[in-house]
Amino acid sequence: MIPIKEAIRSGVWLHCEYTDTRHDEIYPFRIKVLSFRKLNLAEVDNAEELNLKDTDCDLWIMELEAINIKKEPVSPTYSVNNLILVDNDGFRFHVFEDSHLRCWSGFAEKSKLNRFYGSDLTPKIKAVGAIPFQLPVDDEAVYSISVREGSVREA
Amino acid sequence: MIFLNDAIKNGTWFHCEFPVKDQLYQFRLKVLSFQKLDLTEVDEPEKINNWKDTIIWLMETEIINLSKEPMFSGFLSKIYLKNQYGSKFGRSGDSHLDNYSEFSKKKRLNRFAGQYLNPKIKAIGTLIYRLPISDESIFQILIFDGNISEE
Repeated sequence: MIPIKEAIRSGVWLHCEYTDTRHDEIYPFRIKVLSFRKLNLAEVDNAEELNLKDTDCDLWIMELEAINIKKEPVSPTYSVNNLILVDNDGFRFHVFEDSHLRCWSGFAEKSKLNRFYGSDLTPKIKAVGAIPFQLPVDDEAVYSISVREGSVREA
Repeated sequence: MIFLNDAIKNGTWFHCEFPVKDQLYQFRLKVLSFQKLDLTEVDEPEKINNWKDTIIWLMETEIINLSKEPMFSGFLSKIYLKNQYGSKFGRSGDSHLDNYSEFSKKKRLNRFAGQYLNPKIKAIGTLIYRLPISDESIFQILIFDGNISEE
């Protein structure tokens, strides 16, 4: 696991691998985290369309560059969308799925959240986009980057 | 033993846990209310399965997932009720009532319909129970193949 603040500060490239256990196939990709910030809902057009049902939580956005290093185009479902955040207590947070936030809103395009919503990642070509997380309200939490069903290390 | 009426009256938080394969799921539970469904509040009530023949009760809850991973709301079917005669009643489901109706949004039935609960984040939602109930019924809250205890 790589602490997110450290990854941003150092600008390090991370080598990630997601394993599709059903088909026993590994999907390698590289990422560089550019920023990580709390989302102000006022930034989102038609925010009432967001599928927000819980309280005591915030939405955060992680902006990143990603490069698919598999030999063929890969859906974000088999790569970037398997990134997770792990807090200092070991609790794991998956990417927040919301079609308005990630696809249909104007904000999705402006923030590049739409890049990893559906379009494949072509091998060797850098894709710049963002992924959202729903996290508890906790200013003391320290988050690290990991991969669900996979691994991450410095490239 | 944890009685439903006492749980609501005292506003107690309960710690619940149950194993699935080699993983122990844990969550906190607070019961806010338990009320008989008034069908006149539901849009298109005729779309509820067997809507004329059953009495539906709604348990409004606050739940905080304490497991390390997101927990699928289907696991909340582990919460069941037992009356003073030993009869057990599991959570019920109905696609109109807990997903497609406007009522499902208004009463937060949709929060626990095919959704995930993130760790540490409070989820407020409502569970459905179909009960052959009388006014004398006294219910305990239990967890199938698991434990519930007062915090």
